[in-house]
Order: sequence, then C-alpha cells, then structure tokens
Amino acid sequence: MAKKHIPRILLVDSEPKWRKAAKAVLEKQGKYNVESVANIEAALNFPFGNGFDLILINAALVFGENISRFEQMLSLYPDKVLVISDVRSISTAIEVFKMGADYAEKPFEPRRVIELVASRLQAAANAAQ
Amino acid sequence: MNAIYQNQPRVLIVDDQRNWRESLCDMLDSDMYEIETAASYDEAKLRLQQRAFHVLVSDQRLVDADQGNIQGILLLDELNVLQDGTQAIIVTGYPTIEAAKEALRGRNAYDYILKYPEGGGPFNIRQYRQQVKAATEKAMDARQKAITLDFSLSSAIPGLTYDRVTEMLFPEGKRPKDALDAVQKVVNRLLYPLQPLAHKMGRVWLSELDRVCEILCWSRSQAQATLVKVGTEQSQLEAGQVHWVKEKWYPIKKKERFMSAPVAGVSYTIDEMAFEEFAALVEEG
Repeated sequence: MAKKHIPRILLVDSEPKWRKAAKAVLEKQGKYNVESVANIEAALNFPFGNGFDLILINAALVFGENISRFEQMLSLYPDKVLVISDVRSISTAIEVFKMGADYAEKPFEPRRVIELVASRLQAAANAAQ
Repeated sequence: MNAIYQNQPRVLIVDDQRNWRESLCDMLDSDMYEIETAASYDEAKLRLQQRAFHVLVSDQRLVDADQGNIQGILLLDELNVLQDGTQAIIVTGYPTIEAAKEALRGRNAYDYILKYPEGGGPFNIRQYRQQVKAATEKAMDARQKAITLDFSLSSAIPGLTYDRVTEMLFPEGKRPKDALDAVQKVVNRLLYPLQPLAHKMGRVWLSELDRVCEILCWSRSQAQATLVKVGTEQSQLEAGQVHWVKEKWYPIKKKERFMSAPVAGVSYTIDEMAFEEFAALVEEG
C-alpha cells in the first residue's frame, strides 16, 4: 500500500519567537513535518533527506550578502521557495519574482500561517498534475 | 560582418498617456536605439507584427477607463521570444503584487518598473536606462542563439543562411536596409516548427528561383513533404513585403512529382523528380 506523503516544511527566519510559534501551529495540524532554522546558511547545511516540499524564508535573509546562497537554494528547490516579508513591499516582491521565487506577506496569526502553507502546497500539487 | 547586423537595437515604447510615452522615449539615448512608439494595445500589436524589436517597454494599464486592466502585460503574449529574443519591461503607476507576478513569473518580463517609486521620489531614470540597456544585451544574446540554431540547421542544408536568402530575394542595389531582418523573422517563423521534424525524420532542402526561396521539408517515416516558400512581390521590393506560404502536408507516393503553386503571381515548377531521385538527394545530404 502506498504510504501517504507527509509534506516537509522548512521555516527560515531570524526571529525565534515566530519560528517557534509557526512550527508549533503547523505541527499541531498533525499533517506536516516542520523544521526551522535561523539563517540561510543553516538552511543550506540542513541534512536534507528527501528534501522539502515548501520553504518559507524571510526576505531579510535573501538579499545583499546572502544573494548567492539564495540562488543556491532556488536551484536546489525550484518552485518550492516562498519569500515572506515582514512588511508589504512591492519592490521586494518584484525582486523576489525576478529571482524566480514567490512572495507573500509574513503571516503572524496562526490561522494565516495554516492558510498560507495549505494554499501553497495545494498550488504546487495542482501544478504538478 | 553584414552591415545590417550593425543596426541599432530597436525599442518599442507603449503608453496611452502621451507625456509618459514621450518621456520614456526622451530618456533613452536616440543615438543608441532606434525607437518607435505606440499609444494602444492594437497599435503596439501591429508594430510587433511588422518588425522584430529587441526591447518592448510597455505601460501596464493601456485603457484609462478600466482600472484593473493589465493590457500592457497581455501584450507580452504577442512577442515571439523564441525567434526574436525580445525582452519586455513593464512600467506602471498602478503596481500590484499580483500584476508584478503575472508579468515577471507568468510572462517572463525582464523587469517591472514603478513610475512612482515605493519610497517616494521621482521616476528613477538611471534604473530605467540601465534596465533597457541590460534587456537589449539579453535580447542580442538570445538572437545570437537563434542565429546559431539556424546555422546548425544550415549545416544540414548547405546554403541556407539568412544572408543567402536575403540575397536571393533582394537583388544587389535594390536591397532595403532592413531586408535581412525581415527575412530572419520570416524564415525563423517557418523553420522553427519544421526543425524538430527535420531533425527527426529527414532534411530541409533549399531550392532557389529568382526572388522566391523554397524550402522543402521531407519526412521519410511519415512519407510526407511540405513546401515552404518565402517571396516578395516582384513589383515591391520592400522588406515589409516579404511573406511566406506554407502549404499543407502532402502524402508522397512513388513516382509523384513535386510541383510548386504560384507564388507572388509567378507560376513555375521547382523540380520534377521521381520519388527515388528525390529521396536519394535528400538522404545523401
């Protein structure tokens, strides 16, 4: 019998409180494997296993000196990276789209975290069909 | 190098607002680019059909009355990036994250520039110039690749190069400045769909008669052939008059003869040869 695939999610954000809260909220759903790290370097050094189905990474961690690491992440996980930004910024969104990633405002409410992850995974599943 | 290759890169600027259209035009160095403008979607579409551009700069909202319209982004569907390498830059005073995504990810725009920068301040002229220049370079690279692709095809078809076709269609002395460009566009349009076929199943074969170039595409496995013709109106030797006719696929039976249909008012027969002769000629290539 085929084993149901449990989506693996990686949260990359320098804010420990958000990481902890978002991880707890998602884990409580009982249908995701959630990992979290504080920076992009740790994300790239993560023992990948079968890889992640979705990576949420804070916009503050992807530009400037981290740009080549971010490119590396995009090449490892094309179409799986969602850049989340603390404040709504069209300029940031434009830069993210030009890099080939997706953009969303960072979810702070538990309900928004769940919605965002569910909708992204659903969109990916639809695209794969 | 052919002189035609040294032409300035061409930029098409599309904005329904006259002041922006003129400003976007004036901000670019007219010594560096050949610039054309259009004020509407339809006008832009017409220009894009007439000539190949390196860069399209378009306003996002081309209909003032309709707030949510993204016609400028939809205009990207009119580009044939594969053959022309055209890069698009969307410029807008009404940016939304959804529209930016549609342009950059959905339609592969080169950039999405804000008329009124997010942090306030005036339009960033330097960024605009820089991005048009960078997009031009990318377009040239893409075109070079398309030409290389064509030359790889030409190694299978001795003599089939843009220059050769241009020479055939336009006699020396009567050759318009943009003839090569028009020929490139037309030839690419007809060769791209044929290329996979030619690689897989047979060869493309070039025949010439004055001012009409015929390319016979042949598929052994499917026993089909098609004639593709590029010609000009005899009386009007203008680049804009270059057109092509692709005839339907014909099943080939033994001993069948290939006859060409009239092109540009001239009726003639390109070749009359039997199946075996034809096959031998194609296969020995």
